[in-house]
Amino acid sequence: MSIEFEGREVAIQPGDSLAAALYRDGVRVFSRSFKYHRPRGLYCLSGDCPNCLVTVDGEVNIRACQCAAKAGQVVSRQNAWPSVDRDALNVIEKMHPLMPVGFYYKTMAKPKFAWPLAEGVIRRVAGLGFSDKSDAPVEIDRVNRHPDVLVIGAGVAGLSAAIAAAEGGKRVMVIDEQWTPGARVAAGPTKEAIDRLAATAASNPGIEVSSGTAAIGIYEGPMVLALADDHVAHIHPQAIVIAAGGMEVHRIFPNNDLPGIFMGRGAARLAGAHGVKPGERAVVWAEQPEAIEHARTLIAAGVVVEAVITAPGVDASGVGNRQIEGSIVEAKGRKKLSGVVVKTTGGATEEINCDILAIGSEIQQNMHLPRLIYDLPCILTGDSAHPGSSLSEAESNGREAGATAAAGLPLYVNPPASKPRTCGTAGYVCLCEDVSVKEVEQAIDEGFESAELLKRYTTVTMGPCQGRLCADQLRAIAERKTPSEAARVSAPTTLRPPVRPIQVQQAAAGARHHIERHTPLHQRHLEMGATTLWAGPWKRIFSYGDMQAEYEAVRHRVGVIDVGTLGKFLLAGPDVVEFLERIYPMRIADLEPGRLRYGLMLEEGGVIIDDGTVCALEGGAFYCTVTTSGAERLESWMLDWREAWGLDVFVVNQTASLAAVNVAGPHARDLLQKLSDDPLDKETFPYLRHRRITVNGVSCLAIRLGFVGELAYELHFPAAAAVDMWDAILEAGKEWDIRPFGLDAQRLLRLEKGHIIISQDTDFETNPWKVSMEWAVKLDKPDFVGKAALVRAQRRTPRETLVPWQMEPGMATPPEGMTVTIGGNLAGRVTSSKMSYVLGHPVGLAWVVTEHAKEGGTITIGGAPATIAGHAFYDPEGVKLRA
Amino acid sequence: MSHFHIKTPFGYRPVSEFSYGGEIRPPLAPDAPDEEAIDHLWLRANVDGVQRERWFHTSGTRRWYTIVRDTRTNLVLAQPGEEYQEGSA
Repeated sequence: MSIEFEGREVAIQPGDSLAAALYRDGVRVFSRSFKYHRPRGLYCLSGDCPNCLVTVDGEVNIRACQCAAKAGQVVSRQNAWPSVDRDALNVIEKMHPLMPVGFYYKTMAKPKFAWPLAEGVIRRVAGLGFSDKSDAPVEIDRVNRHPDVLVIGAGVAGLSAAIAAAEGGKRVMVIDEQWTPGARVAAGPTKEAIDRLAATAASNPGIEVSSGTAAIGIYEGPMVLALADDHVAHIHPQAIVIAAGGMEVHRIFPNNDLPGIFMGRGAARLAGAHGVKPGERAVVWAEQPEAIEHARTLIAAGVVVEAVITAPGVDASGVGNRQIEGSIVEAKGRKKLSGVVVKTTGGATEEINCDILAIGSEIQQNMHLPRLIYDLPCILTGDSAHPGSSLSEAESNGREAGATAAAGLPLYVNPPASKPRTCGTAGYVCLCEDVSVKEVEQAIDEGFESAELLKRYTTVTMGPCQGRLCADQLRAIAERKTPSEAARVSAPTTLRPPVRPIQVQQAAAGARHHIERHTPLHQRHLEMGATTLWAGPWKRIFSYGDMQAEYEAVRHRVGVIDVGTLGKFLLAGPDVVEFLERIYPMRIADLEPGRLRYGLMLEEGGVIIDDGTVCALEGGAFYCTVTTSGAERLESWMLDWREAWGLDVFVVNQTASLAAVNVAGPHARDLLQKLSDDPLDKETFPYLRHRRITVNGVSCLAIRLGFVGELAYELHFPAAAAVDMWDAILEAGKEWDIRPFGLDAQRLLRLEKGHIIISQDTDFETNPWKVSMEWAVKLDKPDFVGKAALVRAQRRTPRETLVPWQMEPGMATPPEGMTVTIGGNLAGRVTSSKMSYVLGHPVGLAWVVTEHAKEGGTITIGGAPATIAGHAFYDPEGVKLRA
Repeated sequence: MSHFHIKTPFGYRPVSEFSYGGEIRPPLAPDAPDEEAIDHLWLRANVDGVQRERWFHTSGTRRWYTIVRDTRTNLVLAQPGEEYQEGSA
């Protein structure tokens, strides 16, 4: 079993992480640092530091220590040229003085042309890895889980909590980032305790242990977002126990980033859990008793422990060749560790040669998750609550937390105050962004005093570790350097999800369902070579290839358009008239069966939100149409008002169940008469009437409307009959050379009639007065939605009015959105514009300041003169559509 | 990311299936003075605390639901049909 690492084979063993396999193979430098390209090696081995980010199978920034080694993986290191081992870019470190902190705000800002050049270079040199942009999107499943209690962390405290909560009768889910509980804990009492508790948990049917699942965020609800190997889980528990453990404090001293320097638990994990000898000669810095265990683990792995450096009170007797009370003040070495300088409690300094240093520093809470839980039913336990707990403390504390969670948790209120820390006077504070103590101090000298400002300016805490290593140290420097109020009151910088790095496709898991609606005729349109465009959730037909031919057919012969996307509602019930009187601003009560009326829909502010028709049916029901994009919204809108008014009305959405086509043109009647035995003549079935007629053997609601300005019949009928109907109409229309027409032609046809399209010609401030549609509003009605606002708006002249305009033949059609000027002053904008084929000149609609919005007035559109018209351009008397 | 559940006849459904309908407000009297009307039309209480509000189950039952929610914590204090008693959180 092997992986491919930068062109060579590297053997792997069962249970290996990539980091362990590569280290066993002799790899010591795992990455080059972000800015200065300093060599970096394994440090934490628990996914907390940025040092082992590698590219795996084309996927960048994978933490080698957290990634299980699998045969055949292709692995390479990042951020170096030509290679990580011999990185020429390391010369940048020599140019250190040229790259002061915040240099990208200062250097190359002047002259102006320098920055784009510099940016290209900086983007190549800095940054972490190169992502493969050719990748096809990956869909990742989202899974919803609903345990009673969620335990985050399958360590001693977490497993104890799970067992106690399950004993309390709850369904418990335990998640942990590791592959199996305790998988990478070195042999010893901790490992034994975890194994024992994991066995108990496994035998309890109320507990589900989900390993390899990392919690990356906690949200209200509560909802915990967790990443698993092949899916993203949204977990919705009643209570959360956080047992996310602790970590050793990042210690800062000169050369604290050299390869060979490990956190204590990292060295122990490598030696004890993976069986990889970290080095030959070690120094162990034991600030707390757990580190003595790490020294024993190293010795058991065959490492010579030259010295154990202890804090006062830590007993290291019998472990290692020497025991010195003191601390490490400096590391020696260039590309890797060669020795450490120890300062004894007595004040003497001594250099000890070694190739690894294991820093068993003070244990701190793994702080990220605990800082995301304000006002949520959460409880902290183990190292998350009491960093540095002993095994027995963790177990009893965990049991207590689990029992409390089972009984029902109060909301977690107090954010955990992070303990004040000390910070060394030299060395790297931030491994992610490559920021040293000196640079932070320099930033403070420049006036950035509080931790919050320092963070933004120096980018400390903003790298992959998200402040896990460095946030407290940043505060410590700020407080030491400027013991001012500003520094002292600076809050710990806010922590936000994700706790662990997340891929974009994981963030989008489950959110890739894009709704695309088609009418039953969609396939027919595509077969005819139609081009489409989006209209709300619908794909509608833009054109069949020759917009002018489509237009000419409607104006001179006959055309047909698929209008099945219109919102279609059947309304009935005892209060239906009262309901519609309140929904629409026009009169409904006097609408006799067989008649119909154009209606605007307004929101409470009087703004037009939609338009359509209302048909009064026999028997007291009504059939209403609304625009394509409005159907979804208006359904919920009508249902909302129905409940607000407590009216007894049924609202049936027939948008999908009914198809609709509009047959329009001078020969529309001749055509339909070929397919129907029902009388369609002008006297029996006049304009603005609807009739139920049978066309091609299908019962249709036929509506006579005039949106395109010609004799037209809009047929509404069951969707299942749509294809047959379409084919029959096209066949019957052959003698007049019928054309199907799309939205492009329809837009010109309606523009020549001066008809507006809601949301193209109107905006979020448009009331009926502004578009001269007073005729569609009856203010003497008792009440309707928008009346209160319209009554008041009527007292003032609107600032702008929508007017039709036209240009002389031969002038270019201005684009929609073009500005309107009068006497050189801005006076409005164009909302619709097209070249009219029948008139031979450009026509359109525009907003114009009301005082100039007068028929016959001259405006300037994009430098060209235009005249304001007073009525429809085409057939102003409406003779044709009444034919 | 807000996350909570609303009770429907088909069980508790995640809020991601719903569209927000806003806070519940008393209707405007037709003869209300201008000041009151303008407030009603253009201002919302935007409560930092407990609010009665409407949700439309867009991807589901296509019905409206009224809940009581604490806007600070996103805790649902009363599901549709439940009585809300002050301090019952």
